[in-house]
Amino acid sequence: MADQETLLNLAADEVAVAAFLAGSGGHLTRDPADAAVYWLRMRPAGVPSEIYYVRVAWSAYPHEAPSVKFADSVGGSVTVTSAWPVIPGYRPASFDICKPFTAEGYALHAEWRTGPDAWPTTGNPFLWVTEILQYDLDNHYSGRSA
Amino acid sequence: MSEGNTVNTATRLIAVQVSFPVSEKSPYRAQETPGTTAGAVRVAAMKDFTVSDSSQYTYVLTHDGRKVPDSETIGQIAGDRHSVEFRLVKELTQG
Repeated sequence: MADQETLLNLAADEVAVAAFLAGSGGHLTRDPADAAVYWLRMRPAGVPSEIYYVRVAWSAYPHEAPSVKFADSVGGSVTVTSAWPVIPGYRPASFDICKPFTAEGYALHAEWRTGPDAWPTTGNPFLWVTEILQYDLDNHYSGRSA
Repeated sequence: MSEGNTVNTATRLIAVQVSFPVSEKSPYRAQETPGTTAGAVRVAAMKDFTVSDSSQYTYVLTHDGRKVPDSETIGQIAGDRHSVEFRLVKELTQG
């Protein structure tokens, strides 16, 4: 379970995330069992009938990047290949996103932890992650993974 | 068209706002003429937020989720509106 600082910081920043998602036809749900876990319902602007669910799990907010995985529903499985969109850097077979905004990406590429790819701890990193996910869905999406 | 209308069109200014969530600064704001390009706004906003492009990523402006080409003008994006809001997104190419 995340510490109290993390939960308080998330509570402050989730408001902007929820507003952003609502403006993109999505929705934000905080996990009832773990307050450091959120479920994002998102859709690509070009194919709004395709709904995706993203599990964003924070360990220490805003100090550490979150685990980001696509799921088959809110609260659902994060090991379903078809729950993932086809986007460069998103790896349905590995159930991870290999980019410098996820815990999985930083675990694979230690060189990203410093320099220009380092995890940002200022402002609202939760919104930053959400905007990148939505940007990728809107601009780099080429279908649902098989 | 009267000369007065021509002058009004020529002096029209559009309020531009660019937000960038991981900056400690407030959103970048400016008043721009319709002919100003999105690329000029992008560069000005990046300077304000003290970020820059690299060989591995670029910063892009989005409007209603869409990536805005640098060549597009603020007037084209705003249409009849007096203001336009952008988001600055770091487009990551690693993976």
